[in-house]
Amino acid sequence: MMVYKTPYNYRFFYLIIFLIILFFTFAIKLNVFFTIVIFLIFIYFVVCSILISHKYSDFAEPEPFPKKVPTVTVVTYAFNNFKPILETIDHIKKLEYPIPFDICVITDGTCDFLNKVKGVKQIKLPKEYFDKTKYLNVKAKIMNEGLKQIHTDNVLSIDGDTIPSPDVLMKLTGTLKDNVGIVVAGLDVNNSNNFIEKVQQIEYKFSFSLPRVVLSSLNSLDLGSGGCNLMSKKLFDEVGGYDEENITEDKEIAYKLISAGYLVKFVPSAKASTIVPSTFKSFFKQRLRWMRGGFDVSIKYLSLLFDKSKKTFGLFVLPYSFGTLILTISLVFKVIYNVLKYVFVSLYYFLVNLFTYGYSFSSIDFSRVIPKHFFIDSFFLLLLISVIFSLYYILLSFGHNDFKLTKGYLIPFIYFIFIHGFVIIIIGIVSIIYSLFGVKYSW
Amino acid sequence: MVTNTKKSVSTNIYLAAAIVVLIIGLIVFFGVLEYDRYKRNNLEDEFKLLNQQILLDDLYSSYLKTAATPIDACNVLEKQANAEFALNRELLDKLKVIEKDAVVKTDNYIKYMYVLTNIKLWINYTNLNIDCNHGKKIILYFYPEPPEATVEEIKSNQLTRLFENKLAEFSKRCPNTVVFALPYLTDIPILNQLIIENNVVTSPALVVDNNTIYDLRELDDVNCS
Repeated sequence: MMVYKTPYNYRFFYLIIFLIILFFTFAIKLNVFFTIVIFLIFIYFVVCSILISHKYSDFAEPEPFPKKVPTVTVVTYAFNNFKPILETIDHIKKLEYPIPFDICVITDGTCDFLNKVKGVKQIKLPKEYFDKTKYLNVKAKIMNEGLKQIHTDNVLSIDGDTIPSPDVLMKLTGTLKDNVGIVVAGLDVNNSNNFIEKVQQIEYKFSFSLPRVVLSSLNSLDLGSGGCNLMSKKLFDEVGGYDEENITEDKEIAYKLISAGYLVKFVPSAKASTIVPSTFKSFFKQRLRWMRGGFDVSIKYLSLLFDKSKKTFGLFVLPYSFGTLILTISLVFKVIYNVLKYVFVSLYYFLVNLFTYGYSFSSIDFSRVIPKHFFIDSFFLLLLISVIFSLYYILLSFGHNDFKLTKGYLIPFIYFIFIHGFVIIIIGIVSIIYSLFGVKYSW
Repeated sequence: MVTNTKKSVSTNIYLAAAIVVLIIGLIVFFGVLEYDRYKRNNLEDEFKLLNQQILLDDLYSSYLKTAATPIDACNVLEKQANAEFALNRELLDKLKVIEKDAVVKTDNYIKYMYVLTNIKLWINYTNLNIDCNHGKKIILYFYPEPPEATVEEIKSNQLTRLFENKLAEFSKRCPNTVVFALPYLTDIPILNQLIIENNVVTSPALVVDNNTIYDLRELDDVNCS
């Protein structure tokens, strides 16, 4: 059984990231002036996005369908007798396309029920390829192996639990041309029943809208979003397919394409809906995997940082996104450290006083947390302005995605605005610590 | 290499965004600065008003001594002093909140104003004790001011809290107690004079009945009278 851990050469970079966080925590003193600078750095991208969305509204539109229709295969996968794949296949069959297309399901040979489904070709791979103890990224492995048997111009890759809308192929195909390697569809959530699912739906409605449209328009989209995407088979083969040693193969292939001079594009109106984690535990696990994989990819392609040949991506988007991520993680780490320091040192001296005087009437000074007088705190002003900006940006994204907040989404939305980002950053901190200390990867 | 039928994003967008962010930054920075100044000015005005009141007390005291209608001067002046003492304490609390989130630290002008006002009030109370024989228990409490965001600060906060709670307990036991809190600073001449006079070598410390106390347990042995 293979145990996959962060490679030692990567851990060196994680150590550097960790040292930066520690430096920020212990050596930098935050005051309002410094906070304003950080605040401005954060809103810069929001302002850029708002300006781009207003000036270049046609970027969200799909490119016209090509005169010469490319051949396409729709590929999905199923293993361990995964019957819900039938629903996905039903929807795949309903896809609109001017010429017939192949439907292939990559399986481990346990899905015999597929034999009865007409028009579906099964690509049966050895069972060991699906063994998570043998391969770090099973999806990357089976897709690489399965796609060797496909020879069409394009490949529409759909996860087994994802439902494509009928026009998805028509909308994605036009954009997959020239130097575009992958076109990503806008993902929606299929199971928005409980709180955590609703939060993720809000997140998907926001992120699969303006942020990706803007990145796509800047030729800097760095995520292939594996749920539903259309790939150029030629370029997929040219860059060597998915990296089986990385747990976020869709992000890695995007970087691989960008590194080779190709692009990833996004068409928000091409829709597909997927299943998201239903419990906080499974959500945490999924995001931890995304974070660890994402960091690994960033380290692997560190050479793209400030690479002039990658234009906007190398000179702006990558340094900005990587920099703000580290800055955010450092800020949250600093806040957590200071709160814990205050509580524990206070507790320590509380106990010292208790033993010194035999009794104690000291307590943790809550007046530091709750001011006695009502003043609008300057920090609060910054927070307020940030929230207003974020709200405008999020609502603008919702507007692009035709999403309206209903009553049932109010509390998840408040959570999304004020807490969700904090949770994601905590997951980021955990992922850095895990990778630094070589905790094994898990799915 | 990059070929797209749509027009590409102009680099002017980044510049425009930078200008917008800069303008927002300047508005926010100067807005916060102005707001801090507004709060400080308000507080300063309140301190000035309080000082005027204390000055008037002295004049009023002289007036009462020569007034045709005899009234209980001691009672009136004590009420005045109590109200001024409470107000001064309240203004200090406000000052702490303002300083906590200020963009630019003050030149300590308002803080010194508080300290001097408190010393004036202490003198008034001491005089009232002598002139009116009020029998007030006057305590000077010197609190430490360690550097912010340090372990020393947290440690000192705990000890200060302990002193304050113990003093509150003492005040309950002896309701005629008046505590004057002063920072342990030597750069204000009158304050330094008090520190030297009372041989205060560290803080937090209490000066009760001309004795300097560092160990709180000693406060239990102090009489109310």
